[in-house]
Order: sequence, then structure tokens, then C-alpha cells
Amino acid sequence: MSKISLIIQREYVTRVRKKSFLIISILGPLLFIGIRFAPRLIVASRSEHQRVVVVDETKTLCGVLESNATVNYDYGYCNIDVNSVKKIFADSGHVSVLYIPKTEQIMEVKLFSKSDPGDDVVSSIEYQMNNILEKAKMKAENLDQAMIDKVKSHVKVKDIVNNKIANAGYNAGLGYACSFLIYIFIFLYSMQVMRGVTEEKTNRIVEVIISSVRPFQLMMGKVIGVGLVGLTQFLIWVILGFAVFSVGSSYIQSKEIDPKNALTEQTYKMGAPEQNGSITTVNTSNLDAANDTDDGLDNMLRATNWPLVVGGFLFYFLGGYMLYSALFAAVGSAVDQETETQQFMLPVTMPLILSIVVMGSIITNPHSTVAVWFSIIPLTAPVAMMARIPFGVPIWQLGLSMVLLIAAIFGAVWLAGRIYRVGLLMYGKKVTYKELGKWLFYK
Amino acid sequence: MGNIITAKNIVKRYSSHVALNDVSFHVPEGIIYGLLGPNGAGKTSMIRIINQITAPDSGEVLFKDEKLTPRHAELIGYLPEERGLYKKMKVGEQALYLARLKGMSKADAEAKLKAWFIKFDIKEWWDKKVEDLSKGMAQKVQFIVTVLHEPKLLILDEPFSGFDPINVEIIKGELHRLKKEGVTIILSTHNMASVEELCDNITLINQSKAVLEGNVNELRHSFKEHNWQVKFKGDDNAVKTALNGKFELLDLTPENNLSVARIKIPEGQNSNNLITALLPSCSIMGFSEILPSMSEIFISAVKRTNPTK
Repeated sequence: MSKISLIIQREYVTRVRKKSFLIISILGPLLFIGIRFAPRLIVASRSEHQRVVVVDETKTLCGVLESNATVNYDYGYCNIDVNSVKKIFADSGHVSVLYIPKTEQIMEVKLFSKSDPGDDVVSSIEYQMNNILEKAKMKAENLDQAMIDKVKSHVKVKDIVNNKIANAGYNAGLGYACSFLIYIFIFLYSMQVMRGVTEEKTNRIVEVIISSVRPFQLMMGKVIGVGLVGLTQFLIWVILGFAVFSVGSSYIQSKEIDPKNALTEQTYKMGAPEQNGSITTVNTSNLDAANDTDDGLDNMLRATNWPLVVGGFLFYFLGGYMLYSALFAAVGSAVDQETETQQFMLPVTMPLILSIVVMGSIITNPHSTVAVWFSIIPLTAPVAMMARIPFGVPIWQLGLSMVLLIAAIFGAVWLAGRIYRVGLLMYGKKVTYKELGKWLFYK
Repeated sequence: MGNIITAKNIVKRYSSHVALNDVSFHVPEGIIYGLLGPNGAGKTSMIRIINQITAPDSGEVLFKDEKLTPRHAELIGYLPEERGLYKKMKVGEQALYLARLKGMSKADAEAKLKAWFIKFDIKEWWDKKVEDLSKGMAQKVQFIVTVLHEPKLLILDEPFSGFDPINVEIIKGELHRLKKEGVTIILSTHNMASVEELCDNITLINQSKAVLEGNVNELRHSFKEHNWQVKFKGDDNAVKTALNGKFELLDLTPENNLSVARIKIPEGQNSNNLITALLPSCSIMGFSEILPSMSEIFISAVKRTNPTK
């Protein structure tokens, strides 16, 4: 067995055996799902208790507003003087008093609470009141419901790129998810490389090891070993995430049996896969999902160029990691203790953070100058290019970006190797950038 | 026997200083060789060059007349001065890893490690984590790892630091045994007593230069100042009169019911003349030449080469 594979094996095995690896492997997907569903859960749990006592001087809305998940209306005090009602509930935390003063037209109502009931409650009340008042007014003007429905329009833009149904929102979501994963992965595992290097240095085991293997072998062994740990982690996430997702969605499906949805799905399955979202597919989706706001997720999944997205993801995922972990290894070797890494971290992490900062603008405008440059410059390309790929990227830009990234990896590994072999044996010295520069030229 | 290591005109510069300035020496095969020098003299730089951890700016190192290449690393065992182990790794697992990095097969390394663990009576540590070991225990493990792959050349930088006297004796015993088996040992140390006890040859590096090289006994003879120690029974004053200005009395101290005089023999005189001069005045109980200790040689050589401050 060659020495570098021994090193890779040690780096891999010691990390995968750690408890923290197991915990992150399990918690990771749960966290993602949590982020996805947390807002709904929070809303649902918080608003259950909001009791709204209605005091209605107009006598028009008493008993009309309907309690829902957010607000629970109480009409027991409808005709009592507002000030005495306020006094009754002055000290109740989860009770608000809705006061509708007597006016010609209801323009403003007041909601008295001890603690802020939150936006959801306020907007729920506004929405219901507006709806009810609108309908009342229309009735007064002799407009019937059928007429109103006829007047309302529902225009939807079908975005068709290269004869495939596209969806900017969906592409943005895909791009965002992929780039964000790459960003997290690079950060998480490059830091592990750095920490490992500093650990070996402070442990003072490094001199024994580099009397057996070259510093470069040790560095690359660590980079590759930790990278494999990351890949393993990612695979576990994908498998676990997929399992949880399919269990979850089958649970949801069993709860809301919708014959129209079932039919839609069957139609898609019957359609030949080569059709690639051609006119027929568009038609079926138009027919079946006439007022479907979701726009047929299946359709879009088929429209995405999966080989490109998956290939691009793996390339930028691994390439970005290689580039940054080499640089982080150099940082780790230049200092004596982990706490001293700060001074060299900033320039290394800057491009990465910058690329996540501009990601929003890249996704809203994937072909802007900023987006193009960020996706070509190697230090920002992994995150920036991945955000663009789902929208479609000119082949020359993709090619240039990949070639430059590979070149940058070689450059970074060379640079890091030069700093690393000197840094490992430097103790008790506060290293400056000037010094780092000199190390490059040591024999 | 030939030389296992030949260093030729080694120069190593760092940004702010020169660590080694034209250093040459050779280490004959099968001996214990001392690499001496004050702190910061360049010993560690030299050792790292022999271990191919760093490369010299100019000059070359030969291993048995071949230019040093990475494949020689497996023939060398190195115990650095600043040594450590992975804290979170188990002792046995870690020793196996380090042995395999030196090119041993897994089965071979495991069998030999087990034998060493029994020999050093540390069998029960195999599955312990390194962080649970005391410093001395960890040092034992490191020594085993250094010699496990049966290197032809052993380089030990301050090997006795951190050991209690009992373990120092165990390690010294191992070094003597290894020497008998034909292993060459390069020892870098500040402990001059152990140099006199263990080393056959030395090189003294001071201020980036090799200032002294040779056999320990020969060096001690070449540095001698013709001082002799005389133990006698008799009247101190009679002895002083007998020396009569021809010999210089350095000091005179009583010891039990004897007297001990240290006397310098000037040029033109010899030890027989001294005995002849002393015979009438006292009865001589002991007569021996005083050889300088390595510590004295070290200090005088360092002083000689340092510019006067």
C-alpha cells in the first residue's frame, strides 16, 4: 500500500469514526427539512391561542368574522363598552380586543393587546374584514358573484426555453440550493483540513511523519482523505434526505387524496420520456392543471438538464473544495495555534463569502456582467457558476470557468505545498505575509 | 568500515540568518556519534537535512557513498527533539500507522510491535488513547516507533529528556544493544556526561560551523593541559618546597587523611620528573593524569570560536 493511501485511510477512518460525524450525518437532512418547514410550523403553533374579543359598535361584523388557525374570535362582549372590555382583559397575554368604532364607513379599527399579537394575526383580520366588506359593498351595488368571477383575470406566463418549460423561480431554487450546499461543504471541510494541519503541528507529530513521507504527500493525503469524508457525508445526506422526503410526501399524499392530481401524474407517466416537455406535455398540463398554482413540478424536473446540473455540481463541489482546502492547509501550517489562524483566514475566506453575498443578484439576473465574471474567476466560480447552471450557461463560459478552476487548483496546491513544508517546522514565530512570500523560494 | 553518512560543505540559509555555513563531517558505520553544540548552533538544521525534511542550499549528503534519496528514509529512524503523537488515537493503532509509513507491512509491524510492547512492559496500553498516557509513557512509545523498522541509522535528538533515571538506563541499554547489532546512532544532546559515556566520535557545531570533529578519547587527550593529580600522605609544606618552582601547584585539598594536589607539568618536564621531585617529601598513594571533561572541551571550544564580547 502506498504511503499516500495510508495517510488518506487514516484521515478518513479517524474522522468517520467520530461521534460528531454520525450526529451531523443524521442532523444534516433534518436541519434542511427543518429550514424548509419551520416557518409553517412556527406560524401554526404560535397563532393557535390568539383570542380576539370583538367589540363592534357598527353591529355589522358581530359573529361574521370566522375563527381560523390564526385567530379565535370571541363575540361574547360585542355590545359592551370598549373601555370596560379593555379593563377586563388588561392583564391577559394572549387576548386582544378588536374595537370597531361606529363610523359611516369602516376605515380604521383598533386592536388592543398586552403583547404584540404579530403580523399574521393583524393581516388575517385585515384580510377577512376587507373580504366581507367588499362583498357587502358589491351586493349593495347589485353585482353578482358570477359577474365578478368573469371580470377577474388570471394571466400566467409559461416560460419556454429551447422548447422546454422553464420556470425562473424553480431554477433559482435549484441554483440556490446547489450553490449553498457547495458553499457549506467547502467551508466545513476546508476548515477541517486546516484544523488537522494545525493539530499535527501543535502535537509535534509532524516531524516524525515528514521524516517518512514528503510534506506534499502528507498535505495531499489529508486533503483527499477529508474530501472523501465530505463526500461520504453528502451521500448519507442524499440517501437519508431522499428517504425522509419520500416517506414524508407519501404521507402527505395519503392525507389529501386529490383525483385530479393522481390523474395528472398518470398522464405524465404514460407520456414517453423522449418527449421532453413538448407541446403535448404542455397541453396536458394546461388541461389538467388549469388552476394549479404549482405549475407541475414533475414537468420542470423533466425540463432540467440533469446530467449538466449533477455533473456541474460534482465538478464545482470537488474543485472548489480542492482549491480552498489547499489554501486552508497552508494557513494551518503557518500558525502555531488555531486561534492565530484569524489573520490569514480573511483573505482566503473573502472570495467565498463575497460569492455568497452576490448570489442573490446572480440568481435574479443570471446573465449580468457580475454573474459572468464571478462564475469565471476560480475563487468565486464554484458558488457563482453553480447558481447559474440551472438557467443555462453559454458553453464557452462554462468551459473557461472549468479550465481556469483546474489551473487554479494546481496553482493553489503548488503554493500551499511550498508554504506548508516550511510552515510545519516553524514554531514560536509570528509569521507575516512577507515571510510567507520568502518561504516560497526556500529550497 | 566505511562511512554511513558523509556531509560535504553543507550550507543552509534562512531569510534572517545562516543556519549552516560550509559544514562537513563524516559518521563511520557502527558507532555512536555525538552531534554537539549550543542552542541555535545549527544541529537541528543538520539533522533535518540528513532526514531529508529540508534540503541544503548547497553541498550534499551521502548515505554509504550514495547520494541521499527518499528511499533512504526507510533505513533511518528519527526521534526529533520536539516529538508528539496524535492525542486522540489509540497507542497500538498509531504505532502501526507510523511503522507502515516507514514501509513495513501490516503483519510485520504488528508482530514486532507486540514483541516490543511486551519487552517494555506496556502491553496493556495498546488500546489506550495517547492523551491518557504520561509524558514518560509516550516517550517510550515514541522510542519503539523510532527503532521498530530496524533502521541502519538512528538519529536521536535529546533522547533522554523527559525520561526518569530508570527509563534512561533502559534506553541506554537499548542503544548499546543496537550498536552491537551494527546500527549507527547519531546522538544530539546537551548532556555531556552521556556523551562521554556513550559516544565514540563527535562533531561540535558552533555558530553554524563545525568547529571540532573526532574521536572522544583523542579529543580529550588533545585538549589536555598536562595537569596531574597526586594523592599523598605527608607534610603539605614539605611537598610545596619539593616542587621548588619547577612545577606549578594548582590547588591542594585534604581528603580523608590524605592530601590531593593538582599539579601542572610545564614544558620541558615530564611526569617521571615530577615523581622524582616528590618522592623524598611524602609517600605517594595515587598518581594520574587529569583529562578534560567533554563539558570543559565544549565550553573552551565554544569560547574560542565565539568573538569576544
